[in-house]
Amino acid sequence: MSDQQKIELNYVGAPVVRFDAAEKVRGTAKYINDIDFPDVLVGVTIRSTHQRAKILRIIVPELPSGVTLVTADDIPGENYVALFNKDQPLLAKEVVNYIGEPIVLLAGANEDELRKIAALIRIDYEDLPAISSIEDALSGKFTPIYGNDGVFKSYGYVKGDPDAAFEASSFVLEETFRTGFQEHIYLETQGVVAFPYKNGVKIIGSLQCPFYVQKGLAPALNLNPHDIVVEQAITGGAFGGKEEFPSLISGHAALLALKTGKPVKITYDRHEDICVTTKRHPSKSIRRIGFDKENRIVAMDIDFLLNGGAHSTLSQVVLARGALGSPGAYKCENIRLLSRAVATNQLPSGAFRGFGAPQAFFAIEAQMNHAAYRLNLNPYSLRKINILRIGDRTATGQLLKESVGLEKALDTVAQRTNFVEKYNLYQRQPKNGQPLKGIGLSTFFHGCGFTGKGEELIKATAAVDYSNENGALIRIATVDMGQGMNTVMRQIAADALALPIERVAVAIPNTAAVPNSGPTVASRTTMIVGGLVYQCCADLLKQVGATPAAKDFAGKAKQVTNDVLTATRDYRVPDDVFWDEDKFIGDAYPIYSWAAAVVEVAVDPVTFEVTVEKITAAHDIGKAINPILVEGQIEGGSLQGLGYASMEVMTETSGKLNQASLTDYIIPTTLDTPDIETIILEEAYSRGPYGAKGVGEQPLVGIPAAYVGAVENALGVEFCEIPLTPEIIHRQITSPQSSQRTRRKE
Amino acid sequence: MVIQSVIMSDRSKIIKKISATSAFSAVSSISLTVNSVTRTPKASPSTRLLDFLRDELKLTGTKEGCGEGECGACMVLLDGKPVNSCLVLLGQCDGREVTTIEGISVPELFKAFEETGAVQCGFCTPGFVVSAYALLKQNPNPTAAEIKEALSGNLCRCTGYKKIIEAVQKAAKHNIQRDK
Repeated sequence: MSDQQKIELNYVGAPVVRFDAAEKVRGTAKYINDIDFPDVLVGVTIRSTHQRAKILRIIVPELPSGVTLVTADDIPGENYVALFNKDQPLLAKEVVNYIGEPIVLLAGANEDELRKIAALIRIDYEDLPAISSIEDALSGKFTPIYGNDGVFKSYGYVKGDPDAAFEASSFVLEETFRTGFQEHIYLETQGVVAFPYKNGVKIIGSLQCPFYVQKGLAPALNLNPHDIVVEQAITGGAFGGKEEFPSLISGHAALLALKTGKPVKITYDRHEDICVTTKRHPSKSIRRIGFDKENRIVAMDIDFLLNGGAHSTLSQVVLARGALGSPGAYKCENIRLLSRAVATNQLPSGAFRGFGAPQAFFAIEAQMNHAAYRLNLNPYSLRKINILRIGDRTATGQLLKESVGLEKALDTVAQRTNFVEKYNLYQRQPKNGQPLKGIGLSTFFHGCGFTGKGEELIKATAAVDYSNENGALIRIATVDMGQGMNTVMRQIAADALALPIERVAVAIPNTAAVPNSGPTVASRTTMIVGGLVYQCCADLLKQVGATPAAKDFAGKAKQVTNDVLTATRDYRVPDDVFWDEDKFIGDAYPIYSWAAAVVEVAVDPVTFEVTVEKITAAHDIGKAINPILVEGQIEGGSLQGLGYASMEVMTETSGKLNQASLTDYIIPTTLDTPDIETIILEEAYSRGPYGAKGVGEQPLVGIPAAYVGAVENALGVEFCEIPLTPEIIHRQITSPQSSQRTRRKE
Repeated sequence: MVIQSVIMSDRSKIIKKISATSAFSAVSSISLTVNSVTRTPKASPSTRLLDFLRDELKLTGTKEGCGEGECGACMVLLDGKPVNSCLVLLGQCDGREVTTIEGISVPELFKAFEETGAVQCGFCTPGFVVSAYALLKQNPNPTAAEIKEALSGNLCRCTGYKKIIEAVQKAAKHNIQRDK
């Protein structure tokens, strides 16, 4: 995009105030539950109370008039939610595979009445032996839930000669890392309304990916996709939790709407939302890493496991991102990697900001911190030796040609925090009952856009219309779910067309009105879709014979036509991007964002309560189209990562969640929030709009290892799991086996 | 799967019984002020204040985020003090004064939230504004620690709170400059 140089930037790079802020601040923005739908019925879901069982019978009381019941027998088409596989039923029919799996739906005018009826519906089950852990799933002792072996997906490769490299290593460290569930806690719970509409159904809801819902429901509803019209309502947070799940709840509302002939709304209260929606995959990483005498990483052996829960959802792509992150941001020529997502009788795990990378980077980064100590180095120095730079190749052999701000990020956070000095000082601090200080570090990346061939498969399309009367209208299916996309897109187009930003609007994401620019995921929106919007603008300039430098678009357009001008662009993966998914070789992403984070803590030596004092995070994200929004992503993502690392405990017993409310599942409040300093580094990407890459997910990814590293620095003890709570610290310090993990004395 | 549709006379009676006891037949004699307007609710005194505001008065700026007093999205002022309206019953509001986000008009506070980037998805925002408004009325020049304390009953999952705290500081600064 060389002509970008000629464009005068009035909006790109400026802290433009988001256009929806005013109505949101005043409470006038209408979320799905704030909109009045005349004659709308309420939908209620009756769910499995058994972890794994055959459904023997459903006994239904006589229903009062005006109450409609739907079971799997009412599904007009095939009983699955279409995504990668066909394994997730819209309603369970013969078997249930997790507690909370939907079985029966009710619709009626009065929710209280429906709840009472729901309590009277009896479902008889015959229990089956349930798979409750990754270990159960791989034990061979249970009938698999999925396929022949209970593995949703597996990726692996061998690069170089890992065995010989380990043999030649001067230091080898072998450890097992674990991460728990994480719940999104978008402040607005799931909610949709479905209406009978033309030849099919219309759905309005709180969601990230309108076309996912359309595609997901077409087989089950036995409708042509274009007869399912999906529109996004203003969405109160998503974080991946409204990527694939809305297809399920929309399907339920649609079944009820089609059977009753009336609009039906289904919204979850917080308890139901926590109990039945997807979570971040729990993980286990069994890792071996080998170093040579110069402290260079020479070999890695990685077994990366994700607990996918009962249905495959997006596990295979979450797994791919986790597998690609597992070797970290380091050079290494000898790698054996095996990665598997397994099926268990637990809630289906799914998309969550970071998408497999937080689990993978926790493991590699915690291991690097452990290795640094044992090698008598500090975490900064060990990374300086090993990090990826321009001209290096990634684990999958991708040559890094441009826009690699990793070393700059590492140096920036280390200098700002006096990392090395503090790290050494805290190692020697006296244990005299005073709070113990600690500092921890991590380096990480996030691939921008879909993994591998994903962008090729989606074939994203964007359009920009222009009329003299109304100005420019950006038509895309990627949505604003809080991140500020609508504002960013307007900035991109306003500068490209040299128009006042007030003359640029973004269409409501409605599948009947906008082309499919793909889902709002994978840190792809600004870079991929924003890039298409930019190209559409360039096409509009050409159509009227205007140039960016002359700023004559509006004038020329007026001379050319009074009709609506339209430009449409499809995304093409650049010809020099090569990816082999079977061999896991090549350019896993078109480009990467890079980052380093430092976390500073004080640990109470008696209670092991950890106070996080500061997070310092430097992120190379290419051009920051809107620096305030970028800071918002970094600050919010960092805190979500800190919650994941430190306090967000979610466990289950026999498939039943033990923390099913905001009282029991706690997320950070203002009082848990440290000072967060963000540093934006802008290593331009030549193919991104104005040089932009992606930022949405990366901020969360590296915080857990930096947090755990800081606690380790304070206490002189190593940990291999998150969330790292005071209880776990206490347990490990007082356990008889703690010597195994206690730091090696020289 | 076998679906049996049986008439369960005993169970049907239970439904009726529950309905009979939960229906509120007495005429409500409650009166309260909402955003300076006197209201005599149709809803039963056992209705949550949140539901009365949203369903009967259509004041939908007050949001439900958890229904158990943890998240603060439903924050309103009851006689000037911030409360979670999901934990307050209408009957408790008799003769009292309720202020919702729709009843608050402080342009400098709104502007501060908008310009500092304190708003992302926006679902928690009205609740934060209500809490911040209550704080600034009582303490026009709060410290950062006082702001954090006053907002600790409001959850935000998007922003990391930093810009929300900055917004309140900015609004406070504006107030003080104006008062001088």
